[in-house]
Amino acid sequence: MRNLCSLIIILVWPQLSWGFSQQFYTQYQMQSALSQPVTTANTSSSQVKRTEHTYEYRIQNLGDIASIASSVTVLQPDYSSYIVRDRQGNERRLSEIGKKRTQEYQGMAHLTLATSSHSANLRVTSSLSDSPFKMQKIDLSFEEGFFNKSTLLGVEYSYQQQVQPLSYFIDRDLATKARAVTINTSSIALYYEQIISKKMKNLVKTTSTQRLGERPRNFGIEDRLGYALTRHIYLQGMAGYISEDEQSALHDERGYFNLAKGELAVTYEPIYDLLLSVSYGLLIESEYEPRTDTKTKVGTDQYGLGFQYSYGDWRFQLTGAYYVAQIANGGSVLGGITWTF
Amino acid sequence: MIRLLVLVTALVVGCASMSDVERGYVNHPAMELKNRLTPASQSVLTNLNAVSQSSAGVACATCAH
Repeated sequence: MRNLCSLIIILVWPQLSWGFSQQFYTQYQMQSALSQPVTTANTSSSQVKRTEHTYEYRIQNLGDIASIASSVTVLQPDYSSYIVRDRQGNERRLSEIGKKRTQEYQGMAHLTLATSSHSANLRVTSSLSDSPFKMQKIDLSFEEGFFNKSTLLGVEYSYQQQVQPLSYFIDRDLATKARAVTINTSSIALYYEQIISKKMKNLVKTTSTQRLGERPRNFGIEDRLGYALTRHIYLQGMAGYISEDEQSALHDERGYFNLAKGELAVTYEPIYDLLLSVSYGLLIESEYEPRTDTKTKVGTDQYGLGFQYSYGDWRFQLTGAYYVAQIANGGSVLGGITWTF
Repeated sequence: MIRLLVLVTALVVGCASMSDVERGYVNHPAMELKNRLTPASQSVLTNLNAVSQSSAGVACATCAH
């Protein structure tokens, strides 16, 4: 039996693996934020920090149509900013509750099937270690190309189950209520990408997401336009809007949210495969509380930088962002290296 | 013969034009509209701009819980 299996592997593997390539990818990401109190949000001044290191292995062009990937992410979360309230209203930092956590692990498996005109993706992500925010997530997507891929239609679906620490809040009617400890989130997106001319293409994406039992369903639309100014300079513009369904009931002390956003990005390619990008984004978020007829509006400016360079079998990526808002400011840095062999 | 030559020339020019389009402009990595070259904007009040809160195990302190 073992010999038969070996024979099958010897005969089949070269057929499947003809022309395939392997990639090893690693990235390091760090985020931090300095926040100020928000009058309607019952939050405290806080600092959120996160560092994570991902190792991914990918086999591409397997059997000409498939790619598989798996990754492990090592997280070093800082829970000192996450406030947990007990039934009596006493607040404690999550980092002071339970055992001290230094590292958490997350795993991902990804399968892509692609032909010349369509592609399908399945991605499963899960916590591999104990965490106060233990999660499992599944992502499915399908894309169909028409007219030599000048038109792309796609659908994406994701479902996530995540736990969170037990915490209480005081509702508008002054009753003490517990927040849900398990949040199920479903999200669906439809997009349409169209090449408009030799130098221009456009992407329209509609989304709908619901955190069941916690937030009303939200609906969003986003348009992203790309334009090649010259062979070395590329522009992208984006505008979008997301709004929660105000016909749905509120589940906690927060009101209805909506968000308007816009972004401009310029990418410069001074030499082949070296991409330098700068971007500016503006986000205007609103919260309308119908029970007190109050509205809170917060604007955020974000400045982004991007660097990407491919050299032989290697690709290097570095991105950074800094944002400034009335209630918080902070930034993030991400660096990644891909080795194809 | 001339018609054939014109047809072949048109095909070659057409293919050259298509390859120019494929790498030079709309399929250039900088024209990729689904994957970003700079980070997405942070939503500090509502968390509406994130696919999922705490997906990487860290909560947003000021966003909606």
